[in-house]
Amino acid sequence: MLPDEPTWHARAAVGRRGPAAVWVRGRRFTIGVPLSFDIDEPDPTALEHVLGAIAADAAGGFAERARRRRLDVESVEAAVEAKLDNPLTYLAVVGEERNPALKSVRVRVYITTSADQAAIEEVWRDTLARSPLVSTFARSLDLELTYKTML
Amino acid sequence: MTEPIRVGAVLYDPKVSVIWDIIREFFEWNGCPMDCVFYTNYDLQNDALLGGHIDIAWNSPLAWLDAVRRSGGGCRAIAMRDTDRDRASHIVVRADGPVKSIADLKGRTIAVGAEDSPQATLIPIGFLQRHGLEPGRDFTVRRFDVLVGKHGDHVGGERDALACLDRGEADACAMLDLNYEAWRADGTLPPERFHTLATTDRFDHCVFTVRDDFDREREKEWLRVLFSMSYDDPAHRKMMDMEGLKAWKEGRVTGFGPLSDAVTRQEFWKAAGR
Repeated sequence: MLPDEPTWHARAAVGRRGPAAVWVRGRRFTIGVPLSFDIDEPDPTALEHVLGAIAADAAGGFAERARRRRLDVESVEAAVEAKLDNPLTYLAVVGEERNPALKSVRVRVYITTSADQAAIEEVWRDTLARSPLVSTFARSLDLELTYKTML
Repeated sequence: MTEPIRVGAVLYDPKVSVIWDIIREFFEWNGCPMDCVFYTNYDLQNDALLGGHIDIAWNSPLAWLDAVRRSGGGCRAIAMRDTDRDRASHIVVRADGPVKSIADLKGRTIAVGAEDSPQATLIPIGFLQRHGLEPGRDFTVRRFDVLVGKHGDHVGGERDALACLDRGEADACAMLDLNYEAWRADGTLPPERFHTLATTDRFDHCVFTVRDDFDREREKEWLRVLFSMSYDDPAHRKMMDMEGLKAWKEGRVTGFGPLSDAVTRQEFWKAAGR
């Protein structure tokens, strides 16, 4: 344990209508409703922010570690697909059981690189092992991360 | 503030909640507050309707008959979609298959939807019964029980029945005319491979159901708002397209004869333990 353990803060506020305003370190962004089944929902939902964060963590984490190793990586893109245990529970459907938790998350990372495959594999493993989000979600749900390299 | 009118709906897919969100907001904006209560099956919804927990139930045709049966005729049908009226089911066969007439179905297998699907199981089987063919005796029923309790709202059972016919594991299958038309249009049901053997009598589908004692003034106000929805208004069109209608119509009870006949012939309530 560090003597002054780092702590992160976020704050969200919602009025009668509209998305949540979220502040972190003095910066502001907005998040919509917790979950939506409407393709026309105007703001990204809280769930989508989580999935986006996982994707950014995987792609950004890999890119950052590859850069430190001076590997030639042109771009990294992560695609995420997730399922809930029972989305109907979120809607308070009478008679539905189980819960609305994330059941599975599949992350596919596409790496455009000319670097040696063994080096890429090493950075990939390092990325997963040191990612706060990947480490957290891997404990609680069926989380699968795979990658594919492209020239 | 006026007490909200509580409307029940069965959800077979979470996306359906979007339709009800739009309807609820529309009623709120028009000064007729409404709460939506979702149920996982029609039995629970009718329990709530007859128990006074909800005022209006968006019922399948089978749930309508069940509500009438359980209440001793103490329910009213107050509104329905234009597309709920005069539906039919088709019995479809392979174009290159041996079945050319209803009589040819004797000794063969018919793929149907869920056990409680009016359009894909009960009414088509009832139709064959009226033509002298009894399930189990004259033909084998191959049932696809997708989401039992939701009365065939989910298209999966009908789709599985068609796939069964396509694989040659059945000699005929049953489907709602709307699905038939959609599958003809998208190439799922090419006319050179599948023919319509027979079409059932016309029947009505879903209906908003209330108990007899539901306050007439509140009902009148709710219907006023419902009937004011217009397909010409882009704000309403999205919901109406999703729900598959162009206009709301008054409820009627004249279109439930084929289903009523089918559940009687098949002793459906007894078989279902009710």
